[in-house]
Amino acid sequence: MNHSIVLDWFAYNWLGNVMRTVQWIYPAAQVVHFIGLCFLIGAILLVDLRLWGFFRWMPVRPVLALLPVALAGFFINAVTGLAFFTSDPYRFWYDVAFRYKMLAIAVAGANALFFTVAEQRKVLSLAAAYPPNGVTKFCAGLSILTWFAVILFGRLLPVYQP
Amino acid sequence: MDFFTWLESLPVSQAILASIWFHPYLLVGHSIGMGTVVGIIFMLDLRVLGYAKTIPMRLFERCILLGWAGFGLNFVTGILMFMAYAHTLATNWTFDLKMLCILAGGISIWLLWRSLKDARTDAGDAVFSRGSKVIAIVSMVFWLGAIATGRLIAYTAPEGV
Repeated sequence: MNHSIVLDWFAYNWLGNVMRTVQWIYPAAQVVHFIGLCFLIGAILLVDLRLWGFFRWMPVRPVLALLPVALAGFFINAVTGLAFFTSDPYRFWYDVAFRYKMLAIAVAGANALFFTVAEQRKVLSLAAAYPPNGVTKFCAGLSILTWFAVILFGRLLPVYQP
Repeated sequence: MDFFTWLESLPVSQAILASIWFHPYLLVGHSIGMGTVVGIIFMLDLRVLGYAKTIPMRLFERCILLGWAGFGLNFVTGILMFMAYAHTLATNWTFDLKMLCILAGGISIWLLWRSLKDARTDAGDAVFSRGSKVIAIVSMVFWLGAIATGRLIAYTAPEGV
């Protein structure tokens, strides 16, 4: 399959141009990407550990107040990530680690969406100390696993670089 | 032989330098540890600054061990990476700044935790002093600095570090 039209579109975007020509902007965007990572992972860890069944003395609702922080972290990283991609789409697209990273993000996102739509209301209606059901526990475990996988493949990206 | 040369000559340092995968996987661990320890610190800072007021402070008391686990992971992976690139890192100004940021960040999070002594035991809506909030901001600034300087080592050091 020929992806070059789409990849060219990314490459010849104004954003790609800026990322390639302004010298300090790539490292600066990486710093921001790592900061977004900390907000995302910090919030996700506390939420998922509670859903997994830790801290059961605490109701679920308060900890869900951290979800906007996780979303903000994700948004920051989506924007900076897109900026990296546009700087050299051909390098990223054919990088195995990049593809696995995108796959892990897709699974993590689908998992979060499924939980929000199908499980969240049930969990919130339960009494604080009530043990989590299997589905919730699975979602929480999968969430931590996939987000750590995102970090893993993201960090291995330069090694697989074709 | 000086100390840094000796560190670089150790078998584990040589193994890191000889393998394509060792160093990247140390970086993977270092990033996961960073997300864990700095992530939890950021959540505590946000909570002290007035965000997510319904979260009981006890949650953070229970997360101390997890935070230390993240820090421990980064301590170990950090030491290993330093051993392999001792000379380069010891003479790198972003590395020096990073160490200072971690030291200052550590001191500020300790001061913050101490200032929260009374608020910590509150089950519900804890109210924090202005002093605590100032330290929370200071802690955030230093940890942001540690992330930034850590990331920039790759740009100020010779290729491969």
